[in-house]
Amino acid sequence: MGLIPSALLIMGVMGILFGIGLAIASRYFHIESDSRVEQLIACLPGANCGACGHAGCEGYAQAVAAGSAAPDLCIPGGPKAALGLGRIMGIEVDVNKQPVRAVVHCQGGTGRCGQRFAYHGLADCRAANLVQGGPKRCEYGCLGLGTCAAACPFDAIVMGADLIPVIDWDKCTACGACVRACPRALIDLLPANVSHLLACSSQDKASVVRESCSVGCIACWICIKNAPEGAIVKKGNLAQLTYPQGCDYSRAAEKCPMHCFVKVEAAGIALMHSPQALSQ
Amino acid sequence: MRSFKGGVHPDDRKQRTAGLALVEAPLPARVILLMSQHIGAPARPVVAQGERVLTGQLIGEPQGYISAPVHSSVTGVVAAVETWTSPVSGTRVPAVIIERDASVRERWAEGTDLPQPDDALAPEQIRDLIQAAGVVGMGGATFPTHVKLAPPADQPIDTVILNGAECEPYLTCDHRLMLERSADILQGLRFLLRALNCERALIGIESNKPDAFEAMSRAVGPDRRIRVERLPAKYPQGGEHQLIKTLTGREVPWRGGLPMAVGVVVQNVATAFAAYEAVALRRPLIRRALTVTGEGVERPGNYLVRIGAPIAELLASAGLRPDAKKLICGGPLMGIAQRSADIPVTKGTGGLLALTEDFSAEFGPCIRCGRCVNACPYGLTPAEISRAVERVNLDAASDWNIQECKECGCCAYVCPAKRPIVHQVKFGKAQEKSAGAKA
Repeated sequence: MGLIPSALLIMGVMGILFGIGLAIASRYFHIESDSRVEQLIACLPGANCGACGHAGCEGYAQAVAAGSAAPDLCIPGGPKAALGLGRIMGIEVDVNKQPVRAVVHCQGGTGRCGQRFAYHGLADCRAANLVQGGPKRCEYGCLGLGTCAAACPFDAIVMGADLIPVIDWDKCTACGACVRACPRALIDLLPANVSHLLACSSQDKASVVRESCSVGCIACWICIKNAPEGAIVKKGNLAQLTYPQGCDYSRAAEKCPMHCFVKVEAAGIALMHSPQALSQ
Repeated sequence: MRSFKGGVHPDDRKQRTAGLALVEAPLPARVILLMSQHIGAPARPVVAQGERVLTGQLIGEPQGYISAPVHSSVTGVVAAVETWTSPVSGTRVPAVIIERDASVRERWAEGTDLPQPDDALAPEQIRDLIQAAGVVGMGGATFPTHVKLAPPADQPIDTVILNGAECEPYLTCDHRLMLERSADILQGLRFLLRALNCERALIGIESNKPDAFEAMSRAVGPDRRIRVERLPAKYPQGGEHQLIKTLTGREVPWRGGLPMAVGVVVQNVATAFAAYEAVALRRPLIRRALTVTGEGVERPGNYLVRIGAPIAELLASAGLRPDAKKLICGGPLMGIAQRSADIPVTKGTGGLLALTEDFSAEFGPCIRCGRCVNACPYGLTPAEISRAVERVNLDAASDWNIQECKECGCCAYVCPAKRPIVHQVKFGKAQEKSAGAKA
């Protein structure tokens, strides 16, 4: 027999033997798995963002299959994923929940809130925050190094020219990765139908805020006087919007002397005042 | 000379101040006494605004065992009880601000500043006096000294090591203390020995300070319990682990092992001096030796300053140059860069450095040269820790024993890619801590 036919024969016989072995092994070592898990995974977006609170999409699918997690927890997947999971599991899902999206509660970018020292360390907000309480003049404000943008699994965040993150709501799925990444807890998930938000998180006294930032909340409470009862409450030295049904914040926003309010529009956040006006 | 593995030899730049005697700095017009100048729970202020206080009077009560009291360092009036920026954390911490009353002579509080014959003191009495005086580790770590003097019963101490290495470049205040106060330091050391019921002490002094070695050897005299040892001049010779290894050959175990585990207590020479003042003179810790130096000051020097003195004033009197770019509290390797000079001297401030060099944030990828591995005195692999933190892989950082790192900075000093390894380690540890807090 020639070299090539004998090699083919040997390889062929070996292949058959291994195949039989594998067939036997798959019988003997068979593990009963829930066939629904595969189907469930197929319904999920596969971003492994962790917004559902489980270790990736597969972890969530297993939890749903085991009945230990509700089928409507996948935020990036939205109603489509929730309906899909519900159908597989035979559970009724309410898809009329109000969608939420990420917003940034700070607009103290370069030119509005300065630096208190030249920072030469790692380009990560969490690392910068460890050095002397952070290089930003405001101890509550955005550090501008883009840790949220790097954390976003959907590329929905880019750093603006003033080094404040800009969130693209077409891409944002409200998974919350940025919320967890920000060392100063400046990002928050708000219902998509709100009209305004307070873009400041400073708990400093007015004198400190005025020294550090041109668009910081000074706790003057003029907004409270210009909003319906209970629509804005005091949270330390910061105003907090409570968003009661159908509340109109436009008057409060207009009266804010520090221009802390920003108007929320369909396309994204529109600054109430142009940056030029603010710097004057 | 025996030594430890690893370490680096930075240019020590001590010559500008090594020959300058300690000078009593003028009393500040105002002192800012932080309630958190030690490791452990911050003290609680026990004085109110407007209250008159005497030098040495208790103004901050310790909260718990691992804590330390704070005393007024001047005679005057409490101007405010508020918050002030800490040179350690950079954030605001509770503080008592005292305006010195320049119209009256300095008066010590009752029961303080009373030189005592000391022979009759029992170990517990010594420990209590040191605790009440607010003595903490003055090499910079500021761990309350009385805790180190009360080892658990199953870990007997057979050796006290006095740290006179002063291995950080630029700093010379311990050197001057050893030259000028050698007898007092020795007396303090004898108190420490008695408090620990210990019969052996080693004083480690780097070989670049032969005059201090002479002075301390002379001060020891015929006392057979105490030996002065020359150490190789190598950073970080003054680290606890390195001192113990060099002087006794023992190795402090990993995973949170303390010198106590190998029968050793290490104290700084400045701490021994503070213990002397606390026990023999009944003086609370209200002043310390400090070196003001660096290329950014015209007149560097060694000073005895009151705790709480504004650092800006010390720098101004040393002639701060306009081209000074960076201010560091402590030495250049383990000290902490400050964002402002509007901070007070604390119990742990051994040096003020004003540097003029430009610093660049540029760093490159790890080139796998392994110099950091050779330099690391703790036997770690800094390159791998640095890479693990860079990709925010906490498990990998933990596998490379990030927690064993004492942040001495040898790795960053030798890294040819200029990687900020110490910052990465601090970041990694902080991330690990916050992950642990969430879990």
